Amino acid sequence: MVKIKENVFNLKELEEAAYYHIRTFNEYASDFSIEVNDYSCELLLQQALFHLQVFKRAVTRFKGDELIKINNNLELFLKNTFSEQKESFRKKYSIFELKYYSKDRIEKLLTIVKNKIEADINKVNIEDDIHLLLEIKDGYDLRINKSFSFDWLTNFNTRIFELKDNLNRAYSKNYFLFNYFYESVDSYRNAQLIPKTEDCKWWFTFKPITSTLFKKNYNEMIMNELGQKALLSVLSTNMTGKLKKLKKNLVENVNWISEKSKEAFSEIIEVYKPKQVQPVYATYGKKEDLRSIQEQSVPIREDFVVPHQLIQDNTIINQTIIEDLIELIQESDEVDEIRRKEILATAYLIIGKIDIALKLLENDD
Amino acid sequence: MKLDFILNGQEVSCFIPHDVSWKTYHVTKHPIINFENEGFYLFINKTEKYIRSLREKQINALNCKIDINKGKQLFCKMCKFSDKCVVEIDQIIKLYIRLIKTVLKNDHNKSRNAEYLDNINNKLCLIILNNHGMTAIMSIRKDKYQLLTLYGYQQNNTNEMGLSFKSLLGDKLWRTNSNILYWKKRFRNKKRFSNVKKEIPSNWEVSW
Repeated sequence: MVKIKENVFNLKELEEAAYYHIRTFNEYASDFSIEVNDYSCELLLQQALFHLQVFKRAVTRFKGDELIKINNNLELFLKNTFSEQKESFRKKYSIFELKYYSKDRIEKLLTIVKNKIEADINKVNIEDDIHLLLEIKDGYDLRINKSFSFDWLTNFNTRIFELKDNLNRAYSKNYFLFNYFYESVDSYRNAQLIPKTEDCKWWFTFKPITSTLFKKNYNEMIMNELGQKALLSVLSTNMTGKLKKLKKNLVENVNWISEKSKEAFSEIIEVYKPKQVQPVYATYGKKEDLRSIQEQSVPIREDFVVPHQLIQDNTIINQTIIEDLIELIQESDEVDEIRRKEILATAYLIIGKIDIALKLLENDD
Repeated sequence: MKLDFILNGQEVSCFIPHDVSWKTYHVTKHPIINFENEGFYLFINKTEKYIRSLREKQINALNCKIDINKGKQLFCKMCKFSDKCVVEIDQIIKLYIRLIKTVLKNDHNKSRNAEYLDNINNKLCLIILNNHGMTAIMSIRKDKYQLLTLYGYQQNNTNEMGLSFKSLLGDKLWRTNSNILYWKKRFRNKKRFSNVKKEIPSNWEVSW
């Protein structure tokens, strides 16, 4: 009973936030004194859309025609203001929206969070940063989700859909980070009344983790990033002659492989990950200082050496996994024929089969 | 420093810390580094140029390396130049404390405060939101109020975009309403905040 009362109370506040942002956008939209390089109005539209979609989603948890009517009225108010806007505003808003949900921006915000963790800032004082990252993810998912979108918005700024893969990748790469901030995810989810449905399953995949586990995962992520960088660098160095044309889309193609075949990619990246230099002890027979060994288990970048000739002799990669990867690329219907050949050639290059990669590109000519 | 003010019809006293590190840390973090973002330029009669020059003095002459993204008050506590710093920024400290007094003393005119229990820090607190998006936070112990900080509403969700939001930042009503919505959203986190008592509830609604 207390929970129902609390949810109704939260819903009322979500309605208030939606109405406030729609009305403020309406007021600003007719203010012609705003300077050309001022994005206040654009921010208000983004916030109005976001809060309206949050309210629309929250309403699905309740019954009653009255709520649907309120939602429809709010939507009509926003639709009318939006339709009155000139083409120049729409163009400016599109630029703003692409920047608001850009991968670069998310990565900047993630770095801020990671720096704060490293500086030992109390978790509670990082909550606002985590909520912002969650709000961006939520706003984007709602924006592209047909169930919570509006027909008058469907064909507007369609380039927004192109950001999906990069955005999802940035969040999935930092999945453990959100587990570490489980309480913040939980409080955001409850405050926004996110329902437990297929559309919103991402919000219910997190589990609390300890700081030790977090540090282990964090180090693993750094190792993976270093491994991927080393792989790209080795590939790029080896792309000479006809293979040069693979350079242009190299990062995207490697990302495609890492996304579509996680198993194969983690096998590949294992080979390219820098190997830690084993500490050599000057004195034998001395009792091990367990504390110092524990400290050493936290890697620092300077401790690693990166092998550069892997491309010629990496037969240690499990061949069955590689065959599965090749099959996956050949059968994927998400890419066109030119892209397929490029990804395949990149995959062959990763496992050192330069001749097959070359052959594929020759056929292309 | 003791400051008497009317809280929900009763006269109470609030203690404003007088230690140097509290002053240098909070004044550097809020009215100096966040002069524009937190809206201090709407209340403190100093130019952005003047504030920037103060910050440059802190960095160049006093070797201030505080990073507000990582900063803690401990940073100022350990700084060997804090005595010089407090002299250098004295004018802004006075204006900051004057602003605190104004926010606390004016609350009874249109009360918008809330008492709550911060479960994570295990503190009973009081916040006062003024009419221009400023928030004063105090801790309560045995009916004694101790000021923790005062800051302005921050449009944080666009900080790193490198775009101008001049109209919104200069809009006092928008700052007030956004601050109300921000705190209401925070209070929906029942695990962190409990026993929230808002006074006067109707003043906690957005206004036009």
